[in-house]
Amino acid sequence: MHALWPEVERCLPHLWRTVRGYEANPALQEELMQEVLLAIWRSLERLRTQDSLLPFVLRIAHNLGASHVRDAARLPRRLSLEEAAPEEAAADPAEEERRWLLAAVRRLPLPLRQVLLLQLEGFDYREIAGMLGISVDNVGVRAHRARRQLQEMSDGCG
Amino acid sequence: MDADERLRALWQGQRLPAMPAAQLLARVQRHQRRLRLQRVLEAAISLIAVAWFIAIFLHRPFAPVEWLLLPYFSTFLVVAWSFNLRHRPRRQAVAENTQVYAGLRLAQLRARLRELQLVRRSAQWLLGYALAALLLALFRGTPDWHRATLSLAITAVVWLLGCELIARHWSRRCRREYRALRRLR
Repeated sequence: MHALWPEVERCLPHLWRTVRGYEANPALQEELMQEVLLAIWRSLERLRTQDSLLPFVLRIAHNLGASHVRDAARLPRRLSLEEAAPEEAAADPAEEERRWLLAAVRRLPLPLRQVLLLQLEGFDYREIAGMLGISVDNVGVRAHRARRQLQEMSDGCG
Repeated sequence: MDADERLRALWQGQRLPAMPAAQLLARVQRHQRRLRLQRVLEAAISLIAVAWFIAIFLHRPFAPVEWLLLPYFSTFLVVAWSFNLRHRPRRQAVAENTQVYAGLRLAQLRARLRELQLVRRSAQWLLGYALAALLLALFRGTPDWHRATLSLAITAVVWLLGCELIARHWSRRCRREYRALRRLR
């Protein structure tokens, strides 16, 4: 086993959340997660420093997530809470909001979704720019558009 | 708490699938073993085919069906292995930043689509070759050649249908991924 694998295991919650941002079906989420872990396993030897492990594994997850996207990214239409997440019914309002957020994120076009997902994981614009290979200004534009589209979806759920 | 922090807290508070890391690791290792086994099987099938032809060549004259299969195998094996060895699936590109990954992956997908087209064309050529051999055998050949060319023609039809189905399935997947990745460039 690679020396860094236990550190990768600590990144699993980040990886699961990223995978869930790309795939709604739980069985396919597992399949994608497995693909991501396999790619990480094979790429670990190319990692220079342990400090950059989280960006490294998330970059792989986003790349494979983008390849995994089944339907063409569409402009989001208005999204109601009822259709937000077909998974099990939520017990509390916070869980309901989480389900809505997850479904709304999945509806964002890929370039906006990647920026938003990384922002939600706590990365700043400069780090996101490095991970996606785009300029910091571009990250700002995409983040702004992503939030505006989330707001539009939220307004449409009344 | 501002809106960004609230969204982040919501996102990070998700209930995640409770799959132990050890189980995930075991799956990854199982998957790797399966890939290795698949590669070994591919190599074994190729070697058996080559050994079969060499053994026949050394011990007795070729029968009609073997003469007919010889040109097919000699091109098919070379083409199949050149595809197989050239396909280094995403391994190098996947850890790069998304722009670089998308660029490399798009090039891979274009190459994959060209190869699928080649698979279709080669199956059509095989059918053409089998039908030409059948016609020639019907006019000029002995009953042995009739039987051999007829079975080759039937195999070629089945092969063409199989290739068409597989190529169509993979083309659809490739095009879907291509469209998704093109949006990232």
